[in-house]
Amino acid sequence: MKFARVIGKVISTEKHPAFHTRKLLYVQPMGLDQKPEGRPTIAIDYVGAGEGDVVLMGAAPGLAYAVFGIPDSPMRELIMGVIDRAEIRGFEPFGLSVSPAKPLPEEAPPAPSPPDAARKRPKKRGGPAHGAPQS
Amino acid sequence: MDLARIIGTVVATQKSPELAGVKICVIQPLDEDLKPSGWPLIAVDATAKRGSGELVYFVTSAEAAFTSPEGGRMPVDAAVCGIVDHVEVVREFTARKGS
Amino acid sequence: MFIGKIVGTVVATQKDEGLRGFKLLVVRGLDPKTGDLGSSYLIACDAVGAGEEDVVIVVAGSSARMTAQTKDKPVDSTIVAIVDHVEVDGKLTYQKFAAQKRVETASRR
Repeated sequence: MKFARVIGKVISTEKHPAFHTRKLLYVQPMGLDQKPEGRPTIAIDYVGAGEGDVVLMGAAPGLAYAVFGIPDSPMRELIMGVIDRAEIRGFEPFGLSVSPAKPLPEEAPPAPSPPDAARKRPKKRGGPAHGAPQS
Repeated sequence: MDLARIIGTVVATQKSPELAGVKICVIQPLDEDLKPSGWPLIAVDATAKRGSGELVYFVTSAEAAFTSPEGGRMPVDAAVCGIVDHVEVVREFTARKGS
Repeated sequence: MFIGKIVGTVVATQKDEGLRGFKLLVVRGLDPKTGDLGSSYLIACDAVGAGEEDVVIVVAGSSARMTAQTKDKPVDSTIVAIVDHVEVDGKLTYQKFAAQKRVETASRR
């Protein structure tokens, strides 16, 4: 399995019977540094993932059969879990319990509001804001 | 299936019972000109006669699971199936198509 | 298969019921020729009791379901062995106990 971030959804009315009642989400596979890796792909969600969630994405011949019991199903990528916490040596941890609304690495983190800045020690330079990606 | 050269071995005592007694080797896939093609792979040796430097052919994916010496299936996705005696590649057809 | 180093763990409470009870480990690919870590990775189910820093063999695809623990489970990659050593072109590129000795020597200094 690999990590992927849910970036959207796909709605479809006319489809192969194996896809009936299945929720289709658009996911962007990611590397250990949470940066996009490869092209986005459509995956079937059966665990209740939401937009912005980092998920476990699996893909293998026969995997859909192991999950849904449908033989010869034309399904490849499946969302098999939502990450609570991933801790990886050399990289920042991520997941729902780390930061529920973590911004994507390309976006700048929000600047601290004035009362927060005033509470910090004025003489020393402040460290990175909580959740900001390391350079 | 593809050609490869056996370039090394992997020793692992703690492993799945289905892999007991099975030789694990490092192979370098080759193209039809015997040039390296792609990254090295870890594969089981279904011929049980491997030696470093041997020119072999291997299978990947689900088919590799069927190479267990006792029948049944092994949790492997790459397996060396045989040692190459010699290989010939006919080139004239490719030249004919382009000319 | 590929060999890789276990570099992390994944916790997911909201997941396929078939994955319950499996340790989900992040494995980073290791070049067997040099022993260097690469950028490729997989999240794999552990079937042999592997732990962080172990170098392991990972099988992917439908063959990942060919172990007793992963049979009929929704699994696409499985850790099937813990590596003792790797030798390529006559050179030892990875050795489990040598790595442990280096750690012990470094901590004693």
